[in-house]
Amino acid sequence: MELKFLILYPDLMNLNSDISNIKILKYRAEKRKIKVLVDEYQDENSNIDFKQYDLIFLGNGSDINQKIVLEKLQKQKPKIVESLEKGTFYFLIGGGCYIFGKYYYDTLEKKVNALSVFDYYTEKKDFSYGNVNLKVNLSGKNVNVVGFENSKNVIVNTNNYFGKIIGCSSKKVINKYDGFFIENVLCTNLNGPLFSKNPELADWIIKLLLDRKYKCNIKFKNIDDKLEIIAKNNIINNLKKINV
Amino acid sequence: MALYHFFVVITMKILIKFLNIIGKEAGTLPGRISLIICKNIRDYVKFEGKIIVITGTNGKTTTNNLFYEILKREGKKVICNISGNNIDRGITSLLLKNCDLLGRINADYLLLETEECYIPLIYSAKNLQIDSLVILNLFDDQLDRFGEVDNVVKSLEKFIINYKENLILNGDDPNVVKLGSKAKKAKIFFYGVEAINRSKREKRETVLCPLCQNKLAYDFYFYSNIGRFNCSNCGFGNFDYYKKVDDITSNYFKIKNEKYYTTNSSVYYIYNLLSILILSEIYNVDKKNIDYIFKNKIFNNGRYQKFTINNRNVTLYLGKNTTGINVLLNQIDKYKREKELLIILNDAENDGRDISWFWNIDFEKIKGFNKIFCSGTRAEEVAIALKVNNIDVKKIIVKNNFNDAISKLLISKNQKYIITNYSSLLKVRNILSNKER
Repeated sequence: MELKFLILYPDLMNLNSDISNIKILKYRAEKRKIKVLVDEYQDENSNIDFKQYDLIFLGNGSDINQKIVLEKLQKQKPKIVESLEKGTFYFLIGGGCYIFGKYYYDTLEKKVNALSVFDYYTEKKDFSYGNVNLKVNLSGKNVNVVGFENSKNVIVNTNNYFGKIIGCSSKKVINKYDGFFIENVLCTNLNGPLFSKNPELADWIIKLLLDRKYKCNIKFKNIDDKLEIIAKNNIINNLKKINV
Repeated sequence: MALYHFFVVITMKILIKFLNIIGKEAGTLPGRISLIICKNIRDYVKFEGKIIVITGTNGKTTTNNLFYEILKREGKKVICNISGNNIDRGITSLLLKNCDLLGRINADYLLLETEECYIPLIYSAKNLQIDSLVILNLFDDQLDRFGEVDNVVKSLEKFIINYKENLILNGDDPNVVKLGSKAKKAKIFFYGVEAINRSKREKRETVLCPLCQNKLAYDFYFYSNIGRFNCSNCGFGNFDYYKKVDDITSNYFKIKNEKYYTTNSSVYYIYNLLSILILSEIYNVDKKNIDYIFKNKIFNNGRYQKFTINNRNVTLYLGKNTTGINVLLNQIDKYKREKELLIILNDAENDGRDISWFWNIDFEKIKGFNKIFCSGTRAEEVAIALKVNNIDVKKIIVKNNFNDAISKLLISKNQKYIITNYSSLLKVRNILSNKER
């Protein structure tokens, strides 16, 4: 079995080591003897065919880099839409997800019109940063997803949020929900190595990709996640609970 | 107003005396308190000497301390924040400790390492004007505390546009050079290092021109985005260097025909020394004092400190961002025999709570260690990052308590290295010092 991942603009959009998530997915898949090929998309002149990929990733970037990548991706919008229709999974973090919506706000709080691949857009929020605990529904099962949040934008105008915020470190809750999550799209404000503390989410994505590609119902052998669970619980135990 | 300031100063001086009597360092407490009860307390300070400010992501404390030693050898009276308290509360504390009741500071120089984003806040005041400002480098560092480097640059630009005095800049750092391009009124001194056998020419990550966002071309580079760059689109990177190192050997570096012997000939250290050489020229320092400090000064403040414990060699380093750690790993990599590493990663407020930067370090250089101990509040994250980056899990040992981790580290006879980030540094240093006795 084999999976193909594509990272969009890794040099420009990896502000919080977001690409570590792809490394973790590859690591976990290979532990189950699944081959993973990872390509990079840096040059708009390349003939890379987006729909050939099982998963396409775009990380978080600095303000300037985000604007540059947004401009470059305008020309690729038809390819993006086509691959989405064919079922390619899009995993977008922070600025990576804002670019795919209708608009977002830059660090000077100016509105920036974006790709409009999806109907969500963002609202400005007071800058807050810290660890966050989300309640996420993965195939009918509620899972805790923890990560670090560091953003002035929050995705709104959707009922398909990724997770409900049930714990955070800042004194006031800035927003109720995080991200955007539909059949083959996962967007979140939780940046950096999300999967290091959320092995179940990583495995859920790998299984989704394989089941769709090979029309099966794969059952993974367990791998040692002791460290990952301790890392997750250490964070949860230090967060204030938000009444749901 | 002056009367209120006077009372604040007296109160703080009493506090400082009291703390000293009960055997405690006053630290940043006087600064913190006085800023709460009197926001503009620094306006009360009167200083006739020269203010020298050292800033940048990595190397401030080292550079600050070295130049302090040099000025002392010159017989100058210098007030300096040698322990590295470099934000407003620390600097305010220092000023309060050293002024008289009328706010007067009697010294030739105020030598202050300062965190980048505090420069406009502290030195826009008429009574605290900078005579020489050194900008060593600008990297991503503690993104949650300080923001993206682009935003750090932007916040400094407004200050730099009006700055009229000496500006000593690392000409091999594109973000620093961008600031230089905005400093139309300042006297700019660029320093850099010529292509030498340690420079690299192979492919590197894309770096965008800070002015026009086209891809920057590099003739060579040393690490991260530091090297000889230019933009073929807008001409960014086209300037004259005031001082350039032509050659580096294991004992000295050369500028034209002048040799400077040094305790540490890594290119990262030499960049710091270059800024000191320019400061020394501006303030007419005798070359023999520069030579003495370059040749002899080794710091024992824990940021780079060697210990011998039960015949084991332990080197302690401070590593608090991606570039800093990569620099250390590169240096340690030169030691090819059996060695072990302890990484202590905390996420306290002054470390930055966001530890994602750790995942961008050069894991290839970690493969050379026999064992890697992981400690601190985020020990598990370190271990996970190592195993995902193909470090053999049998080599990875997690011990959250760093007392335990240090004890385990010291078991075998191999060469030991400890890299810790900020909040643990003092405690680790004390543990090692105690074990050394």
